[in-house]
Amino acid sequence: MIKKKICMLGAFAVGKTSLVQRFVNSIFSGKYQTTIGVKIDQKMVSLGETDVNLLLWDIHGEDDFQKVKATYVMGASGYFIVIDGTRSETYQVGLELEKLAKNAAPQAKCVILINKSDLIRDWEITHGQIAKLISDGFKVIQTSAKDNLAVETAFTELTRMMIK
Amino acid sequence: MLKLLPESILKYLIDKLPPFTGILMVKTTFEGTICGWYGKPDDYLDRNPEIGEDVCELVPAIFGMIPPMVVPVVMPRIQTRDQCIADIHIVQDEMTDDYWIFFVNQTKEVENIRQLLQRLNEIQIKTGILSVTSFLDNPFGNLHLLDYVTFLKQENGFFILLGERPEWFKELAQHFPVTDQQIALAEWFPFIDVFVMEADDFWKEGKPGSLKSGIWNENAVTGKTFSLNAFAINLNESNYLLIKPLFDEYTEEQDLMQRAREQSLAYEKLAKTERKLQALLDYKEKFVSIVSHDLRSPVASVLSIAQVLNSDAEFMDHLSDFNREMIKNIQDEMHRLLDYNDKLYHWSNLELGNFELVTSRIPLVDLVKSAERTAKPKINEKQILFKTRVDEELLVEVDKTLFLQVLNNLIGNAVKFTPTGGIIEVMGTKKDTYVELIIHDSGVGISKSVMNNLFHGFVRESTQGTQGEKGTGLGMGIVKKILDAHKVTIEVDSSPNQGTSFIIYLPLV
Repeated sequence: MIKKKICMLGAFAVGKTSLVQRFVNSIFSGKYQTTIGVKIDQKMVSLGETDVNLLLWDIHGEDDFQKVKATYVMGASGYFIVIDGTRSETYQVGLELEKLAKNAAPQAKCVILINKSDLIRDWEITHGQIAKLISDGFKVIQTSAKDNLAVETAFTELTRMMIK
Repeated sequence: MLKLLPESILKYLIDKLPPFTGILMVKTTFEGTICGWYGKPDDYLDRNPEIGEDVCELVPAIFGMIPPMVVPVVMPRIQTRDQCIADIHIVQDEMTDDYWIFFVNQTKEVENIRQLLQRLNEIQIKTGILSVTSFLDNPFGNLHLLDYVTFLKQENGFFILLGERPEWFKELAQHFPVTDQQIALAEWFPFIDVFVMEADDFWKEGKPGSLKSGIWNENAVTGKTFSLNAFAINLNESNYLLIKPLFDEYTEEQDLMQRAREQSLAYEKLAKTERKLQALLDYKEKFVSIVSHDLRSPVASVLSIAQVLNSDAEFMDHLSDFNREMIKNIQDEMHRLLDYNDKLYHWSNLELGNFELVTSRIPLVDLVKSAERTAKPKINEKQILFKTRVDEELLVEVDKTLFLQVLNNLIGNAVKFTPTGGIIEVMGTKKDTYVELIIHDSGVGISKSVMNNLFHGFVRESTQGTQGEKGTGLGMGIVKKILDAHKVTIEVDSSPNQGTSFIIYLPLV
């Protein structure tokens, strides 16, 4: 069985923990509970004949209070950059963390998640910004941990990219 | 030498004491009188033993121990002289009742433990853990009392569990192997993989103290979440990894972070709301600016027509009194509407910042005279005494057009609220560091409720003049905006029926 490490990266309160909890435990809580440090969950994913044990590193959000250590990303086969569609400032934080992750794990695959698509009317992230990410070669998926939109797809897609 | 030892003593030596070449043996009688010794006294004592001497004189630590209550007696880690710590074993020869006293050097071991204690104290200082005095007996075994689980790192990257497991560890890792087998710790705690990368450098460099990991969280099968810290420690060229849960300290840190981030989110929301409101305000001002600009021409045209009709004596003579009055009203109202429209236009452009100050040095008296000329018809109509006292050579650096708007508004207001036969005074005085310009009238004064919002733009409670003149409620707001742009302050002093003074403080040129 293959084991792969995936890191969840992004600014604080973008929904990293919610995405992991939705994917691993099929639960969602609307109450914001800040993550301190790192929480590691595991989930088995089957892609055709291949079973992959995903080690999901839910890493605390990046802000002035907590900085993400590059060592957390070392050994990762893939990582998600999570951006909150309703908060434009999380876009830049996501891009900076992408650079950090790329340096720490150059071979790792990346998928950018624009989360909170249930609040798409309040989005500050523009079509132009999303188009820019796609033109820069990123795989971009719009998700909602709350409404369970494209969460499974996102994890499956990253897993597929990792084992290709 | 061993051949000389009684069988029971030899047995004790072989069975109970470590294979140690540096042991000192002292033989005493039942009363404690030294009757022989073997080994190197220099390693343990200040002087050599003397036959016939009381052993308690030689080693005061043994005082009262001979004859011992039970045999054998072991006194661990006794300082026998400076820089020497030894375990003292007192064993009785079963055949002769003589005693054999063994000194086993423990100086090095105690020093090692002291170093470990030193490192643990450093951790204690950082984490606030209480010390445990029983630690000395079994340093690693008792660490579990402090909630630490201890591992010895092997060169091959595996770990060996040392000592007891604390209760939290038993709950979290129920099936963790408790034998001395080598364990891939990252299989149990994937986070350790990352920390070991950092710790390897720390261990290689043999740094003192400890290296603390970040916090990570693990779920027990019971559903309880444990937040953990790991510590890397060097000791005697061995590498140790300690893991400890955070209980109260984690909750405090999380609460603090939670509050900080909630405030941060609230601040973000406020800032967004402010941006939206500002955008709406700008939209409103643009709307007002466009409408007032486009309204000016038709209003001015109607006013011109009314003025032409009013000045056509032949036409006016053919009208009834009522119709003449109506045409005069049209002229007055259109005049007022044009004035209001102009002020609205100025106001919205000032709000939008659609203006640029073009300043120049101008005699203050020229500006005052210009404003006086504008107000002259009304001044004459109300027979107001208009007095100016402005130094002819006093210069001010202002935007002429905008500053004239200020004076026109202030003097216009003074005229409006000063009754017939009243006085208006304009005084410009050079002070030490500034120019003081006062516009004073002997008018009706300003009520407290109007005064509170005088400079805040639209004033709902616009006061009528002494002859029923209507105001726009915009004049003072425009004055304040223009003076703010000049970085000039204005004050007002007024008492009902006592008059009003506006004081402007201009920079000295």
